[in-house]
Amino acid sequence: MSALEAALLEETALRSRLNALVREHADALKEAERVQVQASRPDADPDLTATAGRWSAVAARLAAELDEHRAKLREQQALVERLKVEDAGG
Amino acid sequence: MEALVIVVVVLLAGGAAVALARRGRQPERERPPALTPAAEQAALHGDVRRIRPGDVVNHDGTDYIVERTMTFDEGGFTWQEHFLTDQVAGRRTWLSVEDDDGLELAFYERVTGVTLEPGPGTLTHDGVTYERDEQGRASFRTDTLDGPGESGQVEYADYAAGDRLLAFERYGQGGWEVSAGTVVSQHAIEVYPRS
Repeated sequence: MSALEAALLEETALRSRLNALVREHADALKEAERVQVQASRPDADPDLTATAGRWSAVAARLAAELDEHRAKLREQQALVERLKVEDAGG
Repeated sequence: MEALVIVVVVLLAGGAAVALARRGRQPERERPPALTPAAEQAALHGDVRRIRPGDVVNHDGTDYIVERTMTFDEGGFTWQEHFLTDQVAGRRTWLSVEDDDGLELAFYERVTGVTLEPGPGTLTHDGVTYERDEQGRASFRTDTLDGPGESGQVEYADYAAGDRLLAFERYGQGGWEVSAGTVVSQHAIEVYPRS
């Protein structure tokens, strides 16, 4: 496998991971909101507020991971671009 | 005879020069075919022509999940409209992808509470005057993550005012659905395909 092919493969893997992260982030946000609504009811289990907080923390961690992977994708795109130029130059 | 000898000598010298030149040259590496600008774009940002349900489309810092894709066919010419949701802010939008002498992408949002109907050469909506661009009938089919969905016929009319678009669609015996759109550059879109 050439360096360019390996770089393209890595780019594909990053995009796939980003797809999964976007979904996980959306799910965590939804879950945090759902539990928070339950926690705000008068007869709610007092532990629910903490559970909602944990889901919010998960969402925040996933958001940070998303940013990190987007940055990695940009770096990978730059690498792919450079390898293409090198390839074209012979 | 002298002339013949000179010709033979010149040919031999020429052959030797070519052989020497070949020996000195590095073997040529096989180069991959040059990518077209569209293929280059596809490789760098994900292929907008191959968006399908479950993919994520990032535009202007927002991630949208592709909920369903409608493929239209009018006499063999096809285009797609993808229904996207921003799961964080709850926004819903449509992304139209049309490859007609170049890739045309536009984001649309449904317009409600208006009594606009297609027909006239120009239409004014929200202070913008649009000119009729094209209209016709097409067949459509819908795809979701769960598999094929609805299919049928649609009547459409498109109006444009520069980068601003106004689209009308009528499915079956229903009324006209109106959407307002904006043309976007394919370079402004990133696709994260589902595995």
